[in-house]
Formats: sequence, C-alpha cells, structure tokens
Amino acid sequence: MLVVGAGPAGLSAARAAAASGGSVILVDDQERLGGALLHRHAEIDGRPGRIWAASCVEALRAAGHRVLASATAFGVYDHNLVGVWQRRFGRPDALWQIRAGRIVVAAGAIERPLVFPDNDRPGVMSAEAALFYLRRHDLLVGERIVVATNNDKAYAVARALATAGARVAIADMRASAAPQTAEGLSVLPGARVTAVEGEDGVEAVRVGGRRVEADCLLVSGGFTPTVHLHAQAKGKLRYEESLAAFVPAERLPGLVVLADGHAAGGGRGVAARSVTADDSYAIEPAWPGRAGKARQWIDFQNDVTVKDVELAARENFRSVEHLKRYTTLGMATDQGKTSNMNGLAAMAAITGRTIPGTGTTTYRPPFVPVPLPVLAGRRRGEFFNPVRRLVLEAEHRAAGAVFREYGGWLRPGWYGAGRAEDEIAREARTARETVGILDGSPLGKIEVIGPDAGALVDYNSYQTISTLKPGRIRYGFMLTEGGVIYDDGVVSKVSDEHYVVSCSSGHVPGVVARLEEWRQDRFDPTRVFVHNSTPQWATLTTSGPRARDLVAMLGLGLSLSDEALPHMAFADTAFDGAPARVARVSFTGDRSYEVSVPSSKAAALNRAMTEAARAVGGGLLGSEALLLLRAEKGYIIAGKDTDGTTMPHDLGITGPRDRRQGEYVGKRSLFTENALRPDRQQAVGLAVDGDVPLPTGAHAVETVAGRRRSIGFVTSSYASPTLGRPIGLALVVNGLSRMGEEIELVHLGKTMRAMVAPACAFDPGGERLNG
Amino acid sequence: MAEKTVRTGWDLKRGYDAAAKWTPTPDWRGAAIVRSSWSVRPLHGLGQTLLSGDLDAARAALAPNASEAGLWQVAEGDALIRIARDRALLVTARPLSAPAGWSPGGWATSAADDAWAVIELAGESARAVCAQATSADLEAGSPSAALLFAGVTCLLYRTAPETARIHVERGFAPYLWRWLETVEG
Repeated sequence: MLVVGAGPAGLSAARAAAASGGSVILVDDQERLGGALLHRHAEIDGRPGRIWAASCVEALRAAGHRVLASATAFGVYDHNLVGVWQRRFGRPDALWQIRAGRIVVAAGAIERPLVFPDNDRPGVMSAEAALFYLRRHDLLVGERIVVATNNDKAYAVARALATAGARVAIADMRASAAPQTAEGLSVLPGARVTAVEGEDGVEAVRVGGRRVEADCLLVSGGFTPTVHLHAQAKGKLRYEESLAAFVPAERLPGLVVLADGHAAGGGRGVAARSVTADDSYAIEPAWPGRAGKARQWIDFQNDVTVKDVELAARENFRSVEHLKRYTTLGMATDQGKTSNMNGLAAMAAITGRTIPGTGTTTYRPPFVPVPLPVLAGRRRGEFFNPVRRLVLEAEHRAAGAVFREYGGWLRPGWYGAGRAEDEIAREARTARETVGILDGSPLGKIEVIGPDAGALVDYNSYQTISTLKPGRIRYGFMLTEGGVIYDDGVVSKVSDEHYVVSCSSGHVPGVVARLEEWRQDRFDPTRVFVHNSTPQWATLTTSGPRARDLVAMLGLGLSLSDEALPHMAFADTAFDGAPARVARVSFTGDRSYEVSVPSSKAAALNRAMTEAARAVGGGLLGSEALLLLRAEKGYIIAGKDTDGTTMPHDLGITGPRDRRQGEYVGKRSLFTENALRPDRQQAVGLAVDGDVPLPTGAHAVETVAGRRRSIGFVTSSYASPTLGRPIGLALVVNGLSRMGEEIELVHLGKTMRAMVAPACAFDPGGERLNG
Repeated sequence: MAEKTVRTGWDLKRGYDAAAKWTPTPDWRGAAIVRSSWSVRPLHGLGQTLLSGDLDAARAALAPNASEAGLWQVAEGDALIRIARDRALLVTARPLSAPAGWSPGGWATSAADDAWAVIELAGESARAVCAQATSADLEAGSPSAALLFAGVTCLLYRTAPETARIHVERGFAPYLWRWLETVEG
C-alpha cells in the first residue's frame, strides 16, 4: 500500500495496513512527518499528536516499511503508477515510480484565500501559515493581527497567536458569530474586509465599516481538499455544500481518498482515538464579489483578478476550461490549489450558475513543479538519447576512425589522425582512383512481405516499384501526404510477395512507421507485413573502379559480369557459411557493390574486404568522404538538399506525377496551386571561381526595386578533390531555368558570386557506373 | 596507429571525435556483469525468427513445441515471444534458417538471429534491476513482451523465476550493457 500524506489520517492508514501484514510505503512532502499534528494541538491515544506521529513513523520503520520524507507524490499515471519526487539532502534528488496494490490519498487540504480589495498586500497571509510559523518555528507573524475568516478553524489560530502575545481581532464574515470568545478575543461578527491600508505592508484593515490598526491580516476562506491525485486518476468530484468544497464523488479501483484513515488501511488493530479542541469546521461560503476600483486577486501566481474573470465572461469564455485558458487562472504551479474555487465561484456568480453547475477544470500532473533532472534520472550523459552502435565499431576504432553521429548512429566520419579535410580528401581520391570501403550497415533494410507487398511498396513510393523483375532494384522517393520528399532510397524486389525497402539511416524508424501505418489503415493487414531487418544485416559497400576486383577476391561464387549482375540488380549468395546478398547500387556514381551478411559475420567480411582493398590500393571510406562524392554527382540527401517544401518536380523528376496511374502517398498534393506555382525553389548545382567553397546555408539573393531578397540557399558545399574546385548544391527559385546565370550570394555580411549549373558536376553521362 | 588527440567542439576542422562521448562497445565474447545478488551475461547462438501473420500456423510449421510467452512470463525451451497480436519472435536453441518471405500458410518470416542481442539477467535481485529499467507492471504481465526497458524497446520475459531474458535491437546493445554496468548494487 502506498500512503500519500503522513498526517493523522495517513499515519492511521499506514499503521492499520502494517497491522494487516501488508507492505507499506508512506510518503510525505514535508521534512518532518505528522502533518497538521505538528502545529495544531491534538491528543491521540493519550499522547500529544506530534509524539504519537513520531512513534507511528518509528514503528513503521522498525517493522521494515518504507517511509519517505520530503517526498511529493506529484502524479498518478496509467494503471495507478504514482510518481514521487524525493528531495535528498547532500545527495541528488530521487524519482520514485511506485505501482502499489492500493493507494491511500491522505493529502490534507489547502487553506483558501479570501478575495477583497488589495488582498495581495505584503502582510496579508494565510491563517494556517501563521500557525505553522508559530508552532514549528516560534515565529510570530505580527503584533496587531486581524484574522478574517468564514469558518471556525481560524479561531484556534487566533487563540494561539493571542497566547503568544499578539493583539488579535477576528473579523468573522458570518453574522451568526459570537461577538466575544471565552479567551477574550475581540470578534467582529458579519464583518467583511473592504480595504487594506499601507504602502509596503499592512498598516490598518477596514472591516465591517471600522478601521482596525494592524500589522498583519490573516485570512481563512475555508479549506480545499487536496483531491488532485484522485482527479488525475480520472476520479469525478462533487460539490459538498457543508464543506464549501469539491470532494471525490466516487471510489476508484485501487485508490482511496481518505475519510477514515484506519478503515482505509484495512481496519486491523485498534483505531487511534483523538481528543482535540480544533475539530469544529462550520463554514459559510465567502466567494468573491463584483470587481471594484481596487484589484481583488484570485490567482496570486498568475496575477488573475476578479476583473479578469468578468472580462472573460464578457468575452464569452464562460466555461471554466475557457476561463482557465483565457486568464491563465489555476495554471502552472497553482494547478488549482488556491485559486480554483474562488475563480469558478466568481464565474458562477457572474453567469448566474451554481458552483457545481460551473464545475472545475481538469487537474493534471505534476501536482508541484518537478525539476527536469529528477525526471531525467539516469537518462543523462551517454544514457540520454543513445545512438545506435555499429557491430564493427571496435574495428573502426582500431582503424583510426574519427566518429560522428549520423542519423542516430555513431559512424566513422573519416579515418586517420591528420587534418580532417586532408583525410577526407584522401579517402575521396582513393575511392575515385581505386576503391573505397564504407560501413553502410545503418542503411534501412525493411522487408515488406505478403500477397499485397507490391501494392504497399507502390503506395509508399513516388515511383512504381512492383513492375520490377525479381532481383532488380529501383531508386525512388517517398513523399509525405503533403507531397514533400520525405526520403529517397532503393527498393529491391525479391519476389512478387517480398520486397526490401532501403532508406536513409536516420529515416529507418520513420519509414517503418509509415509503412506500418498504411499497412494497417489502407490494406488488409493479414495480407502484408513489415519487418525491420536493418539490425540483422551488416552491409559493407565498396565503390570505385576496382570495386569489382575487390568483390571478386571475396570468393562469393557469383558472376560479377555486368550481364549477370548489372547496375541496380542484386544476387543472393553465401559468405563464410552464411547467407549474403550483393547489390549493385551506387551513391558515389562509381561502380559499387553493397555486400550484406548477418551481423555476426560482419567482422569476417570486414577482414576479407579490407585485405582485398589493400591488394588493389584501396582504403576505408568515412561518411564525410561519401557525402562529398555523392555531392559531386548531385545526389541529394533528403532533409539536407531538400527542405520542408521540396517536391520531386523541384528536382526535375516529373514522370510519375505526369503519367503514373493509381494512388500513392502525396499524389494529390502534387497538383495543388502551391505545388504548381511557377516560382518554386528548385535543386541546382553551383559553380564557383577560385578554390574557396561557398558557405553552406549562404543565401542566394536578387535585388528587385532596390531591395534585396532571398531566392534560395546553399544546401551542400565541398572542395572537390576529384575536380580540383569547389562544388555546391542549392535550392534556388526557378533554379532549373537559370542554368548559366550568375547569381549573388550573401553570408554573414559577405557577398559572393556563383554560376547556376547542373547538380551533377562529375561524370554526367554516368559511364563510371560500369567503369 | 598514430596517437589521436580527442578535442571537444563541433567544428569539423578541430577534429571533434564523437566516440569520446560513448563508452566503447564491450567485447561480447567474455562480457559479464557479476554482482552479489544478480548477474548479466550475453547469450550467443540462439535462433531468432521474426514472424507475422497466422502465428499458430507458423509455430506449428516451424517449432510445434514452442511455448508462448508475454511480458515477464516464464518460457521454457523454444518460445514464441509475443510482440503484437500478429507478430512474434520465435526463439529457438539454434538458428532455424527458415526461408525469409511469405508462406502460403499465411505468415511472413524474417531471419532475426543477429537482429536482437540477447542478455540474460539472473539472480534474486533481477526483478529489482528490471524495476529500475521500466515502470511496467511486471506482475500484472501483458500478452506482449515488448516494452521500453531503460528507454529503448526490448522484449522481456523469463526462463526461470529469477532469470530474465532481454532482447534488444543490436545497435542499442552497447547502450543497454553500459546501463546495466552502472546499476548500483
């Protein structure tokens, strides 16, 4: 059992549960346990309340139950999971996630403010708080005190303060209040506070038509039961007239809001017997009146006044939920603790409704602001947003890789201890001249399987896929429903009922999700399935003029002739006794082979390929060099060379849009007015004089009527070791119609010039694919 | 290999090495975490086959004696570990080498022997370690063994009352291992 609150009720519940043989966790947000017993007089089982509380806690601890002080139960989540924030002195705070068989909420009640003009003046404070200061800290909050109240509970406060030496007058809003108490306190029956005087603090209080000199005004508007955890667990509330408060309207499975602690704890053992003089809680509601000249504060944390509520009503934000959003009443740290009842009562009065008819807003966790480091817990440093790791990471480290994070994976950016630019250029040159090996394992390998597999991959793709012959591969785009390029990749057809979708490394979870979504929402989900097989396979890609020689040295038993294995085809074979797949696809523009084996064979394949590469003068290729090589060819990276508006026709690819029959994701959006706009940004290349690459992100600009405006930006920019000059890719308005045009670019105050050119700067005829 | 200087910062020119942020992957062959009341070791060589569709038909064809297990349930021998209503991971003592693709019987098959790293967590405190990794109600269980475990999707079930088995996507295995290494106790 989890007991929230270590006041008299909570302690009784915990004690009874322990007596029943249950396991108990008792949490309380205070450092010292006992709740109101620590500042209100009570006698329980013949002992002072605070002594009784201490003995209960001691007994619970001695019996092995867990007692957490300074621990706030801040939320009830699915299936009664309770979050508890524990402050630990000298150690980091702790987050407890407790799933108890039964939750007992004994969280007490919060005293409400009274609403009157200038009720935010320093020196106006809660009556209960004054008693708290007095009894727990020996601090008297004033010498001439007015206690304004509508209930009996404030009388004990007044008596205590008077006993401590203060001169106390009680302004009781109830006309029925007795004018004199036995303790000799001065009582003003039927007296409402109408004004507070004083510049920096309370100097006098106008009450019941009189001016009473005072240095402190204590207010008690009644008590609001702390039902937040009940309400967070979707428990309904009802308005209880006798308490002028909302209380739980129903019992929830596994969660009890206390009326009787002993019974809630199981009722075993002898219930504690208490004797106290403070038991009476007669109350007459004292809700806010109409706004006057002076401000009357309802929500002290969000600065909401009665006038604000009236304005909300005039603007027809009369539902409490609308009131909350219009005024911020009860939001944030307050969460309805002190402001809700007064706010909704004010709205009820303005709109002529009852309080229950007006209702409350929804209580949401957290009950108190919880520091983010507490919620993060261990999820910091390398436990925060972990990257995926390559099976061959150790081998890459041993080979001198410098790592970067690409698409949620830790991958080699380049190899070697030299300057990054030099190492990257070296790798790129090696790949162009002989052969490079890239660890392409993170590239998506998503299997789409079933009788409707072809239909699903077609629907997912801008290009038709299912017309492929088995063993062939097609490049294409995946679009969002808005027609924007989501990702590009290749799809391999294994059979009519089996396809493998390859996508960018960082897009694998997203592509799996969209395939799964369409599978379930558009197709018969018994006829097609999506399996993410990416982690099953390690893929090493070899690219360059000697790539075929390298693969031939692996002894895969395949014919590597262009007839047997042409570009955009694949073949299944075996490596080291395990299945292997060799695919001819290229992201460099050179002859390339992707060799995929089960991850457990990755090290063996890496050894074999590295040795073979060495024999033909090749080397390892990091991701940075690959990015450079593909940019030389004008191959895009979705999300880098495209943005949130780029459609296939902005890259000059219009065939499917113009000719493809049938539906596919994003199709309709390709024909909207915006999609067909003549001034769309289009992907182009940029040629630059000199040897300094353009800054990525630099804006292409043009001057119209004396004003400069952006017409696009540089998306990729590199110094090409192959071409011996800078290359760039950009999105430029009407870019495809500007070939040969010199444009101006600006970046951080510097102006540059470049010529719009075809995106492909290297081997435009594509001869090297089979070279 | 030349000594490499790891510098901080994100500027490519300064040679920031992101590997410095992440503990190197363990050598799985001898990896083990041994504490007084719990221990962890990787399991090698199990067969793992991802199945979707008619799971009963798939089990009958591939491993008729396999038991079925969901979250925190105890599986004995070959087991069909449920992931979703129509998806399960068939875990066998040895790889099945079942052909990937569509079966006329109405299910899809993919090899997953290497897709998931398998970690065994054993000991009287195994349950307590799991409680740190997940807020799922293990005693209440679930037909699906899939859950967020230490923040990543895993399959969690048991092979004995105090022996849990965790399947985690291979790319996250080094993270989960490091997470387990730093569990107190």
